[in-house]
Amino acid sequence: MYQGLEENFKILVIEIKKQLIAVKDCLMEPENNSFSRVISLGNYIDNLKNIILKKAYFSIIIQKPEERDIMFIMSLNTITSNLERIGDLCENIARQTTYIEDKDNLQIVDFNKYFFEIFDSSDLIVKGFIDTNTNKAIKICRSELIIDRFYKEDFAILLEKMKVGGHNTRDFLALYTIIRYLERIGDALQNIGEAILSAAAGTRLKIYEYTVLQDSLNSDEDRIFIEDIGVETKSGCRVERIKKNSKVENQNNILFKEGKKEKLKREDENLQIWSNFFPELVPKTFGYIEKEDKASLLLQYIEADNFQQLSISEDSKTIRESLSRIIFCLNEIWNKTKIEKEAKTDFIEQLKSRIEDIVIFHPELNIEDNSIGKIRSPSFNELLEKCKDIEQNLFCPFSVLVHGDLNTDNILYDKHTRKIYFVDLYRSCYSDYVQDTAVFLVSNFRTPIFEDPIRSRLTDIIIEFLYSIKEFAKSNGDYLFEIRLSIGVARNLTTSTRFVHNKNFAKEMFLRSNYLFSKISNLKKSDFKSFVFPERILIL
Amino acid sequence: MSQSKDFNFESIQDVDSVINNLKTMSDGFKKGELIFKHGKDEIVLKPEGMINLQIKSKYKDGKSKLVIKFKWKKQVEKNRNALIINTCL
Repeated sequence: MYQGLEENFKILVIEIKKQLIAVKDCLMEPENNSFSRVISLGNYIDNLKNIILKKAYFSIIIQKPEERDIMFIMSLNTITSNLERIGDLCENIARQTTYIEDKDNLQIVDFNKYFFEIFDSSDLIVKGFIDTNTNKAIKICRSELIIDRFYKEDFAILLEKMKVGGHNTRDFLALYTIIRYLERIGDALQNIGEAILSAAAGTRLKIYEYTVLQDSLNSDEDRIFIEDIGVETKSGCRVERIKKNSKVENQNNILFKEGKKEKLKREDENLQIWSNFFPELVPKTFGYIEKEDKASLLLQYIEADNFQQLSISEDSKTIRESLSRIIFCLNEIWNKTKIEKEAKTDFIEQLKSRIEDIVIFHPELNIEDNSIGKIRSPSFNELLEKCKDIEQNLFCPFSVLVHGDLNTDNILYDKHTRKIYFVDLYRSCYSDYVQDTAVFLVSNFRTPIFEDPIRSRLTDIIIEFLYSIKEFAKSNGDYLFEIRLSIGVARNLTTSTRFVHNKNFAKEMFLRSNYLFSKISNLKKSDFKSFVFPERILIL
Repeated sequence: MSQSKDFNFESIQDVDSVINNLKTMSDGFKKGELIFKHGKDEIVLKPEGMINLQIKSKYKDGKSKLVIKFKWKKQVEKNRNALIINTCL
């Protein structure tokens, strides 16, 4: 550590302990008048914190630290700030004791148990951090649970006594405020414990996430290494890759996904369904755990390229191979999971719910009605209303298991084993296969590369994929495929503009979508079966 | 004070729809009135007098472009008595 930083840190912890002792004195032995001592210690703690942070920032500038060192310094920052917070809370507690008129009332709460727990935890901070000892960190975190329990018990006692009456209300309010501050000291300890875990793991980590990892990996080891793989998810999940032993490459590589409970729960359930049908097609799950509205999912880390990367960088042979595999797999999935239940889509409703976001992102898109002489082009909303009525009359004669978000970056291809994997299955369900078809087609179209040979390769992919799916539709007696596909493609062209930063390209996609919708809106019921999807709409 | 009104409409159409649009505009020229609407806004153009017609077309690498542009100015009524030139010296 940077010049004397470790020493300063140790002193800070000692000063906090002194302050805790002083505040305990205020509560347990009020006659000692320790209030002024608590306040004077507070000033020194603030100074120490500033010295530590200054040195930490200097060390970043001077020592050119590696990523792991930066996490260490970030953790030091968190710990120091939370120690100072404990100091502030001590001052607040001491101040509250001065409001208590009848000092005997201080005996209503057993403060000893709180301080026993807090001292126990603060004894672990220095060693825990300097040795990045995760067991100590977990113990520090757990004291928050214990202190929380004490708080709840004492709160109930105070409430009960106040209901009975005959007590000094002012004293009781001060007592309540004191236990509330003690409970907050518990929160600060948890933050400190988590900061030590983060320093050990090399990434920001919460206590419950860490215990999930340990439990799921059955790890007796002290440390789990986590690597940021730079995955950006559109769904707001955090994704990281975990190695149980950083020295051994490709061993026990696991993907750690953290996000909203609702999404990850569905993904976990869907993965079970998929692995029953196609165990080789989806990543294995190693663990799933929920906490409040969040959840964590541990998945097999698949070392492969996604189809989007392949389509713009690899040779045409690999693209052809992977595309054939995708088409083959989709046919197999749809044939194997096909059930005799009509499937209906709600593309228009999905689009309507997103239109506001789209306009915010691309305010230049023209969604109003326009007239040139007698020729009127309806507004986008009018078109959607008309097409919604049409969509309600359409159906697929059967249902299949669909991926639900078959974007090209959700399909992985391992060119060595020639295996395909589907990932991000949280939207999967039994539905119309047109859903996956439209998403895949538009996903290729919206790849923001306009020059040959890549653009013409993307067009080849689109056409080959489209014709093979048309073949599937035909052989399965699905006569309304093309009109449903048109609505699906139009819907995806518009919704995808949210991911397109190039304004001209976003406008082009929107205009193409508008063209499709206006074509469909003019159809009569008798035209539905004969309608042909205008494939030129996906050719740039 | 200058008055400015704009109409800007872009769409993707097939050849049949383009023909319809051109016919409508040609009708407008015949009637002497072209009406364009965007939402609640309306702009009425009245072709008159001498009209500047500019046609630009381009073909490159399979991409075609055709720009037709009309320009004219509102005709100001001239009062023959407004300017009296005295030729008597």
